[in-house]
Amino acid sequence: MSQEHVATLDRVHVTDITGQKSRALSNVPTDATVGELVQEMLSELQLPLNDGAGRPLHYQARLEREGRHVHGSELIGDALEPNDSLVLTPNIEAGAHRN
Amino acid sequence: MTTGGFSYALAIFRQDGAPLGQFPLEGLLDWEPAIQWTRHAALRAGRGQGWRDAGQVQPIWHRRRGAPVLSGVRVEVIARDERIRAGCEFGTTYFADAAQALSAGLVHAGELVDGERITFVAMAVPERETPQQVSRLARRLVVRDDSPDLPVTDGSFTDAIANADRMGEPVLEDEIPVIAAACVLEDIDALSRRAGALETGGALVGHIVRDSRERQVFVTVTGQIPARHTEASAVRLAFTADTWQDIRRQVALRADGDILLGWWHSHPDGLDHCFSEHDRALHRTVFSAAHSVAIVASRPEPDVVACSAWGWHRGTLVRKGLFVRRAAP
Repeated sequence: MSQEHVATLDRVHVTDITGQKSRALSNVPTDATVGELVQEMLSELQLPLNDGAGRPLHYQARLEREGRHVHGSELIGDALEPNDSLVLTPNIEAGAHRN
Repeated sequence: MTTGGFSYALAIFRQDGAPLGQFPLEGLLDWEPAIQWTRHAALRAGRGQGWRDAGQVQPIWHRRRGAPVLSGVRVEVIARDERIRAGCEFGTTYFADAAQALSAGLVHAGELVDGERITFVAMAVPERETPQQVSRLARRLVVRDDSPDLPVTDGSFTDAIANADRMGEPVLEDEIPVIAAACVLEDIDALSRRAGALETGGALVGHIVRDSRERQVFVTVTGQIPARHTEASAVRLAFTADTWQDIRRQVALRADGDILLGWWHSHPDGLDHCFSEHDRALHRTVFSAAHSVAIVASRPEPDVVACSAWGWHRGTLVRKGLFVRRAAP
């Protein structure tokens, strides 16, 4: 039986916008995508998946080191380095109610 | 969140008592506000911080009817060193939002008429063990909760409201009081008028304060940060990822240790003075901490801007009053 050998990354931080929810990650497989990591972290940080109309919320992961939003399809091994911080930010609408 | 081996459901009845069925609440129950309120209650009681983000929920059985009927639930949070726990009890009103969502589905299915009132009974039943799908990533990932403690300063609530007027709703039992500087509401008024027919908004900043003598936790709103990079219309205001990044940057530049406390937005001329489902969803998504506050600035008349405040109370979003601190002479 062959064993899967995958490079991993340690000391990656993921937070919400307020910074009051934070996780330190290690053993992050470098061949996973940033999008997969974001989905996993949404559940971990108890962030909602849908907006007020039940539509899926779109979260972006901002890489603090480079000051840019990382695309979900980017591989962790290509986009991230040890000690990187990602901030999960939603595109979300407020809106008035009409009777 | 662990549910102690129980799953939750509602039995729903028409107003005349006729049963509509029992409905599982998987995917409809949001325990996060209850966990956040429990952490706040522990802080208010002087039990400190350092709680893990996750919590546990346990059923409280109805004294007369017994299991599986609930009279409420108990939510517990656990310290990171796992030595101590703190808990808070919630009545079945916590299930009201889930009941509302279910009734909307029943209206859509033609089993209820829009506006028809229902009653519900909350229940907990032993959870069936189902194999959980775990992603390859999740199997490998090692996650440590390193959420920081809330930056809480010490202060006197009595002193804080000495030069303040109460505005809006009466004081709720266990309320987290909000004291806003008058200049904050003046800024919101001016920005709302300047936006004209479009919705506008921003972030609220200030401090969390604990009065250890009165066992009270309150927030002081000392400023607001206009939201930039938004997409606005007369009935919609989208906070984009760039909006939040700009807000974070502005908060980091502020002196006196201001933190992000909440948000505000406007409802332009002629629109209702309320907190919509979209507003609630935004508040839950970004501002789930119990101390978070939202202000809505509506314009019931052309020359009038009326502010209302909204925030968490025992795990549900309610309209609340504000203390408005007058400027020093």
